[in-house]
Amino acid sequence: MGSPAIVVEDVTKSYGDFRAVDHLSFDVQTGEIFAVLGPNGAGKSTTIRMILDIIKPDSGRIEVLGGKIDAARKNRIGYLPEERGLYTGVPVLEMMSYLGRLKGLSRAEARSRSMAILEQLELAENAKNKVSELSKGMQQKVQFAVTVLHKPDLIIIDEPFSGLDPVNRLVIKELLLDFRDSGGAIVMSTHQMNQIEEMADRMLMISHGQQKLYGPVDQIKERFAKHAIIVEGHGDWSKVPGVVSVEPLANGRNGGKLLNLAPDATNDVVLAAMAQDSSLEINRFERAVPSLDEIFIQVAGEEASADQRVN
Amino acid sequence: MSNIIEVARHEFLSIVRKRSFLFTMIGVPLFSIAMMILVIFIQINVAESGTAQVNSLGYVDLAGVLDAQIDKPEQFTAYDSEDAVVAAMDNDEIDAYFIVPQLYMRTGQVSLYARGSVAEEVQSEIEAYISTNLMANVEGESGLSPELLRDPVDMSIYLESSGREITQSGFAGLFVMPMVYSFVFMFALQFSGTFLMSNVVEEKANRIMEILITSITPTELLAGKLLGLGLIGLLQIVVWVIVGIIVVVIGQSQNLEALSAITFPLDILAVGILFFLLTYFLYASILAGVGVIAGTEQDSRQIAGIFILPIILPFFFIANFITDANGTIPTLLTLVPFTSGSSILIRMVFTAVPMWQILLSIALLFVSTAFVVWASAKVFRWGMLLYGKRPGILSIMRAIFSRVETGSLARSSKGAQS
Repeated sequence: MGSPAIVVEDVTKSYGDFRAVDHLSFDVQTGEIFAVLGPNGAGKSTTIRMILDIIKPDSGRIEVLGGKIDAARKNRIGYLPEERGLYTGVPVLEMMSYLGRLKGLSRAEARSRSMAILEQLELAENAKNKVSELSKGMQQKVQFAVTVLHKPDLIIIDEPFSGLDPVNRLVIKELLLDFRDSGGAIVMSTHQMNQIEEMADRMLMISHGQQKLYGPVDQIKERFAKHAIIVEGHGDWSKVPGVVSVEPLANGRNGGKLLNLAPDATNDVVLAAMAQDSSLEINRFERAVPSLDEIFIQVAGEEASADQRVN
Repeated sequence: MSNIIEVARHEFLSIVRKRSFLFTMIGVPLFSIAMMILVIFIQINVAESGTAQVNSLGYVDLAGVLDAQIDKPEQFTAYDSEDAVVAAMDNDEIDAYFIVPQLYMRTGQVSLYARGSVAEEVQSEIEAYISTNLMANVEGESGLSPELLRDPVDMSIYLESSGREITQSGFAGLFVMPMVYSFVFMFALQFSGTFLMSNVVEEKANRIMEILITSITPTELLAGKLLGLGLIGLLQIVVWVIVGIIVVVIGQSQNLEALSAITFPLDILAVGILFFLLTYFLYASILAGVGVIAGTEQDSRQIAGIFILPIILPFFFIANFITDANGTIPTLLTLVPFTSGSSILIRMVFTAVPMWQILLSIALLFVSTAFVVWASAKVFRWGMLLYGKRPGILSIMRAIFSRVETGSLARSSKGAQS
């Protein structure tokens, strides 16, 4: 991690009586993938639009790429909006080179960069096609190509994988990881928790415009980890020393069980005890760390029930 | 600045490349040239087929008017009696004949007999032959030339106030300029303006607007669009002026009466182009604002229609312009920015428009255009991320006159808050 690509400090934004973003603070470092998540209407788009200077915050401070946003800094950002924007009636290459020139590329640069990316995305032969003639997945890739065309230092991307098949998802994922590894910063807003788990270094979860979770993804998951283990196999797990209770796994397959442990029991001791018990057959043994999905549902659910109590 | 030029270039190309634009810009002028050539062709053909029927023509002069046979056309043959000329006709010696009856000097009646239609030229040849001979008698006594006697008054009217000369036949011709101006203007604006609008609507619907405004400022975007559209306007002027010149030159070389009277006074032309461009920007920026607020293309067209109507408004008051070109209504219409373009041209034809009015009109138009561009930039900035419900006139006014920012109605509309 290097210097911050984005600094958001105590930012608030209201639309009339509605507070879309409420005293929000976070930063995004260069060389990291930063995930922003939250329920619909949580203030994600408003936050992103304030970073992009499309709308102005009521109060607070935002710095992008080392200072207040200006035309030169805008040219170092690649933005992929949630609902995709492309000119449908224009040939792919021409549209890309137009958008590239608006980002400050020269005519020749815009063309050659566009061709290079199209080749990388295996779309070179579609360069002369109109966007409307491409499949949805192809359009999605073109959209991505537009985002990185001008070699930005920061990419802000809404739902990068929607509408992509697994093969193309992998292509885009590789490109994003390469971008990160070469020192770029990525802000990714998504509902696909598995993508965050696979790719994101740090994350911010907001709800009602407020920060709910913020930090490295591993640490957040750790925080929500129960004092429990997950096992698969056969036998009577309840008689193992240190196990307090046995629950079937909510999404368990292969007879998976969640074993809640006594406060003084450690994983090592429990595992050792299981290994010595010949009546047990262990196929899987792991700490019960919740998925981001579960954390999301838990946090958002608490919010919802809190709302209900208030109302 | 380079961003503005890039947007202008993109806008220009995307409009010019549309098939419907090419059709209207090249197709319509080509169509009018083709129509004219067709008319000329038909006229020549009719004329030719007419004269072909009458290669030789006989006549009987019972009144003794043609005794001297002054300037007798070669194909005219005199016969002594009606019987002789009828016989010659039956024998195909002649194609037609006319009879100048005994009472001609009192009635002026001449009868022409032919197998089919007779070209106008043949008729005028007969008329000329008769009147030349008729005049010859008078000439000796009065010393007047036969030409003068034949057409004693050729009146030219000099309009003291505008210094323009109006001949009777040229009256309609003077009208052509302002008419064509308004027509071309409506046409040019209707087409390119709707293209501009539909581009904006599309950009908004496609959400490409969000990408654009993270690259350039809304003002740059709007300026580029207006510049591009201005270039389209100029291109249209050039094409139409060229077509106009071609039409008039061809027409005049063919002696088409309707066209020969058309005049292109340079002062009117110059003022016309200035007003054209200013009014063009006025309307273009309104239409850009409409495009960004209207949700769909259909919506935007309907709203745009209301704004385009005033261009032809002066023609509803054409009677006022003719009878009293410096009257209240024409003067008012000259000063109101939306109608000033066509009004000032009509007035300049009929009267000397006071210089202060021309200057005031230009100043008013310039100020309103500048204001509308500014207001439109604000509406543009505010409306470009507004989705869903179309905002009312009040909120639009608020957007123009107070510090309201992008998408600030977003709360009440879908998709902008997450």
